[in-house]
This record gives sequence, structure tokens and C-alpha cells, in this order.
Amino acid sequence: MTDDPPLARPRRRIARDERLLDPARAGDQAAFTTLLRRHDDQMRALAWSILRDRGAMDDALQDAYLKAYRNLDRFRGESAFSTWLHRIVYRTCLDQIRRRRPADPWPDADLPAAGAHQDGVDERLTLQRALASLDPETAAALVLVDRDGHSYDEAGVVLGIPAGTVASRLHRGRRALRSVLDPEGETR
Amino acid sequence: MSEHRDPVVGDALRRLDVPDHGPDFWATLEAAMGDVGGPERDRDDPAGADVIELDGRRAASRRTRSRRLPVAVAAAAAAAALALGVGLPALQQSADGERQIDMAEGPRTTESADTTLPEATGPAPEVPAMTAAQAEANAVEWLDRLFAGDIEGAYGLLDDTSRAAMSFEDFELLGSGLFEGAAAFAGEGIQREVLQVETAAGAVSVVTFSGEVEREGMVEAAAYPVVVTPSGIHYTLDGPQLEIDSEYLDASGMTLTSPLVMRIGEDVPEVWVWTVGGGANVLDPVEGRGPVEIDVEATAGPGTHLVTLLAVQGDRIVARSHTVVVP
Repeated sequence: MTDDPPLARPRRRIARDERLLDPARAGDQAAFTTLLRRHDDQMRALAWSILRDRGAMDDALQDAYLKAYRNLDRFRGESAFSTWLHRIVYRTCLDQIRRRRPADPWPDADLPAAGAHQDGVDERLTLQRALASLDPETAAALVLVDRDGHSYDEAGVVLGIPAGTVASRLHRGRRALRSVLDPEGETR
Repeated sequence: MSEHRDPVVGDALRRLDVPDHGPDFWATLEAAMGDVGGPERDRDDPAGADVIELDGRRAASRRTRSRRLPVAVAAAAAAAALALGVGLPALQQSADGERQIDMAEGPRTTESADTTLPEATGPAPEVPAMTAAQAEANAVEWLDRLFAGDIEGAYGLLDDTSRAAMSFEDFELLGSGLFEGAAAFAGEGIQREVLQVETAAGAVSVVTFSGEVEREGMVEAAAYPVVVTPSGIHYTLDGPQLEIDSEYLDASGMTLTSPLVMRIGEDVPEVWVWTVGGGANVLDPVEGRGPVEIDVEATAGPGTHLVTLLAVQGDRIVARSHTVVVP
């Protein structure tokens, strides 16, 4: 993870991605793996926010990355590679959720034990649980916009909804997370 | 103008532990990629593809653009009819392009066990307080103002409920992305449909803009509904919970397959589903909360359909529109 502000990363990466896309399209597996590793932090964050289970996250990302590789010839660069990959990951995660519904209980095994004596662990656990209480679409909108710095329209493209709907999901999600982060000073 | 991001939520999310992959993740993936052998060559069968059709410009050129046709749909049923189990007027398009209610048409029912669609023996439709043409003109003006960057003018077109729920500063904070997203539907070649219905909140019109739009470099089929009440455009961030949970035709996330699956908030009392396309123009009041399935194939048959959902909860209204394909 770099220390760059979230908004600075995508712009810089677009140019770097372009240099790897042609060899990847030609079947250079190493070039494509480099592309994936470059964006893997954000993809894991998105998949984790939706699935909240490490095994399910890995399964979904394996599936999504393989889909992206097989269909790379259809990516023509009209959008950023990361936007295209985000969409594939998001759809694949939703498919996995639908296959396992009714919703599985919160996977406690993948979380630190409550009450562990580590700085910030309880706060993070509380936040994880609040995130888990959100529907997957709302959690994904929060990760895309507030965590990773995407615009509302970029998030809308990834989620397959208008930007106005992204705004309403963000509103709902922020209110829920603010209620546990700052219960007394909950604002917008 | 900048888009609002919540720094407190953002910082907290960045501090959240996201687990790394299992130890074999990359080795397994690379082996699977080796089995595949490389990217598949381009195909002309997007319906059978797993991932998004990114060759949107070519796809757009293959399609015939809908002409800019204002279609006025007058469809109304008393909200009380929901409780009585009546309603379901079928809508037809007349020769002059005006769509009218044909109560004798009878219901195009669905077979889903989760869906309750009442018999078509309801009361005579009521005429909404606003004409379809007025509603359409208001929605178009709103999008045009957003497209022009006239945020103050767009805010001024909101209805009383929306302005009470959201200050101008909050509206402005939604930022350029929101307005650019809406403005994608303000261009030529966008088809407009107007749905009017009498709800517990009063007369409501939904103007749905649909067609091929370009967003973030991708050109694809999309739809955008604008809710119009007699006092203005209705846009709030805190609307009734209404989520779509259908399977997607591909990874684009814009085109769904039947059945249309909705998750409706337990406290949302009133939901309408409107289906247009494939010869069907059907307005259904939905009874029952929780997951609801609408079998678009049984309702409208094969083809590409525009399905608009309208949820009403007190004075809050939300609409969603999606393209649903039945092979």
C-alpha cells in the first residue's frame, strides 16, 4: 500500500496500465499478473466489503481475474482498466452472494476476537460489524467512493446504477457507519 | 464544485483490516490462466459472454437509435385499491402515440409464488393532477439544467419535500459526477416514457430516460428515472429501500434477466412495477414485502423490456429503472 492520497493513484496507474495491456492481450501472462497485482489491494477491499469471508473473497477474485484474462481482448480502453476490473469483481461477488443466500451469518472466524487488547481492534471490529449490516451494494459504494476516492459516476459505472443512486446509497451507508464511529456527533 | 466524500468514514475504512490472499492464491490463478492459454479472441456474441461488452461504440452503431418520442402514459389507480386487491390496468399505445389504459385487456399475470398481482377489476383510473406532457417537460428541464451546470436552477426545480430534506449546500456537494451522470441521459437518441399513478403521497409521475449512454468511456444501454410531483422534481437521498437482486445478462450490470427480483424494505408500504416493451405495457401494484419476484417473461414475453419500479413511503418516493432481457 502506498502513501499516495487515494485520488492520485488511479490517474497515475492508468498510464502505467496501458503499457502492460498490449502484451497481456497477446497472451503475456506475466504482464497480466502484474496488472492484477497492481490493483489487487482495491479489488480485495471491494470483495471483502461484500463477502466478508476470506475463502469466499479468494474464490470470487480467482473467478473474476480469470474472467478478465479470458475476455481481455474485449477491453478496448474506453474506460480505465481498473474500472473494468472493478465491475467484473463486483458482479462476480454478487453472483457468489446469490448462490449462498440466505445470507450466511457473520464469519467471526475471520475477525480478531472481540475485546482483544490491541489498539484500535475493538473499533475496527465494531466498524466491520456495521459494514456487515449494510446491503452489499451500499458497502461497495462506500468502499469505492469514501475509501478509494472514485467519483460518484465511476462508482455508478462499477455498480451499474445512476450516480444519483450512488449518492443515496452513500447517504444511507455513511449514516450507519457514523452512528458507530461517532455516535454523539453523527452528521451527514 | 467537488464531490462530497466523508473523510471520517473514508479514514475508518482505510484502517479496516482486509485479509491478504491465501498462500496458494496466485499460484492457483496462474495455473488456471495457463490452462486457459490466453485471452480469447473477440466474439460477436455478447449475450453469451461473461463480462461486459466494452466495444460499446460498435454495439451502438449496430443498434437503431430510438427516435426522441415523447410517449405519454396515463395510468392511475387509487392507492386504496392495493389493500382491496384490485388494479393492474394494462396499457396500450394508440395510433397517435399516446398510451392509454385498457381495463378490459385483463391482467398479464406472473407465475411467481412470491408475487401477488391482483385481478384487473379495479376502479376506473383517476386523472392525475399533472399531465404527462407537463411532467415530461419538468424532468427534461431538470436534466438540461444539470447538464448546463445550473445547479441553483436544478435545485429550484425540486419539490417541497426534497428541498426540506436537502439543503442547497448538500445538493451542491453531490458534485460534478452526479450531474454528469444525469446529464448522460439528456442527449439525443434518448427515449422517454412517462408513468403516472395516484399514490398515498398523491399524484406521482415517473419520467424514464433510456437508451445508449456513455459513462466513463463505456457506451451501454441504461435507464434513468426522474420522479415528478405536482410541486416539482422529487429527489432525496433518504428514500424507501428498494434494491434489485436479479441476475445480470452479463457483467455490465445494466441489463438484467427475468425474473426481476426486488428486495423491498419492510416498512415500505407501496410499490409499483411498470413494464414496457415486447408489446406489453403493464402497471402492477405489488403486495407483500421482502423479496418479490416479477416474472417478466410471463408478463411481457420475449424481448427487451424497460421495467420501472416506484416505491412510496410517506412523503418519500424512489424510482428505479432497468432494462430486462427475456431471450
